[in-house]
Amino acid sequence: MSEKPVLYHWEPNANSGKPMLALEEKGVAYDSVYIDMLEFDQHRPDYLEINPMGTIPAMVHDGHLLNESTAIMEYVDARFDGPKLRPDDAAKRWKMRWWMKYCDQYYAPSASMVAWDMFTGPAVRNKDPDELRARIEAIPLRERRIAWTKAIYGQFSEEELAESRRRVMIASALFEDNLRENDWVAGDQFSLADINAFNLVYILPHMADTMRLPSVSVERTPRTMKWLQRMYQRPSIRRTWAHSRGGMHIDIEAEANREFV
Amino acid sequence: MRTLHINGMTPPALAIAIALNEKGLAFSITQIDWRETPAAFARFSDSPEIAATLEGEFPILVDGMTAVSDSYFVLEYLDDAYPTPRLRPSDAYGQWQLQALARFFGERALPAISTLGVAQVFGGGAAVKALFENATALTSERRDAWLAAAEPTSENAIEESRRKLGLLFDRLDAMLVGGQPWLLGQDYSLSDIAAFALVHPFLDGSLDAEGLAIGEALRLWHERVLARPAVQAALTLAKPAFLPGPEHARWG
Ligand SMILES: N[C@@H](CCC(=O)N[C@@H](CS)C(=O)NCC(=O)O)C(=O)O
Repeated sequence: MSEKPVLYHWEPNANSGKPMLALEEKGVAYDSVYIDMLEFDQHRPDYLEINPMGTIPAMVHDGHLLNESTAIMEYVDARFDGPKLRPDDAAKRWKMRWWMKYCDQYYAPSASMVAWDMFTGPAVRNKDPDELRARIEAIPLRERRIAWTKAIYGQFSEEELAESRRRVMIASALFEDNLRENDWVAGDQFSLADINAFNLVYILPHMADTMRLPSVSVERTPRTMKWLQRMYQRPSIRRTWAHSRGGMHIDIEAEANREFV
Repeated sequence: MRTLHINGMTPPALAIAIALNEKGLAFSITQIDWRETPAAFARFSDSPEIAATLEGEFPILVDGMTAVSDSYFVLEYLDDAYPTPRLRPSDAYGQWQLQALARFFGERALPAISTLGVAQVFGGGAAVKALFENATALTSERRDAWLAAAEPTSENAIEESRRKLGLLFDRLDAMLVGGQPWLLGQDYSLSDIAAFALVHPFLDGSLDAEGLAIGEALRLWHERVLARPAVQAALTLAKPAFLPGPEHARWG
């Protein structure tokens, strides 16, 4: 046995939710440190010492710092005993990784841009203007600095928001198609790709109206809705969501027992 | 039967060819002229993953019944399917290092190299438009990437690409200054292969390295990788090429 990993995370969704859920699925106890993204905890000097990228999540284990949520999940599966979260077959593993990249670099960033424009920006916009300027200056990654600037000052262009919406529609359709033959994203076995996708897809049915983004619904993507139900039936979700401070505003019980007509 | 389908020796193609050679896996090459890309790519449309690639149409490796794309995942596929000789550390932390680095290569460095390569070498010009405008086998993003290559590259895009490559060279150099032979330490790995494919074009003169600081440790490492027979053999397979690659991240 080794020491417990320490996981620095925000709300149990998006990138933070990935290693949290992977640790739960693997049955690994960890020390949780909540980093409040809306208070810019992730750019404070003490956290930058832990993760110089200034992003969440980050994990410390065996004296190593790990960042990049998807790579952390693979670490969790490789490093600890417990159920296998990656297929053994090389081609299926390729498929698992392909879908994680598609989520990380296409589906999630597109949904995220819309959500940051509608929720994250407005949630911090009313802070003191000087404080906000200082916060933005303290962001180490240029890309994240641009994202925060746009969100805070409402500078996403109509064009890029429309493009992001279009991408969410395309990705959710492709995701639905992929579930035609299998119950899980990478095939017949639950894997890290399901964990990855869940952290992004779970919110979409609930945001169809508020985000004006009718991407995932019983009518449009029935297989995805059933897949979500299979996910909600896993005890790991309940345990992971218990780390939420704001509340996830979703009734797990109802999602797990949803009736499909 | 194992075939690597390429549009010339682009950086991703080079990485895969090197890995195949390192593993001693026999393969043949199918060269596809870039002008034939839409039709050639359409033949892979039964794989929804390949059809929706974010990296670019080719290279695609067909290994028996399995077709795989997205070069870093092809490297991991090869190491998963043909474990000897091992090209990844056996411990979880080493494997994490490979993947965290690969994310940076794919998300930051590869788009930057494609931008500079298209600006300096590709030269598709106006012909691109007619060939790709109605290429329905490609996603609209990939079609746009090709169509953009018909236009001159903006100063901004070049500037941003140089910035990203500066980050790449600094990061690689920092990993090597301690005197270790390979990026992850004492063992040659997929990281060396993937990084070599990105750095080599700037050291063999295919791309203009002006304004980019390439540290001494990085140069020495490049020579070490270059001297490997598997690398030499891969470099003779096809001429270097640069084509519209993955887009620059639109979101952090
Ligand atoms: N590629 C990184 C991205 C991490 C990332 O950007 N996380 C977001 C939260 S989901 C973040 O740190 N945002 C804080 C910020 O931008 O300041 C990963 O997968 O871990």
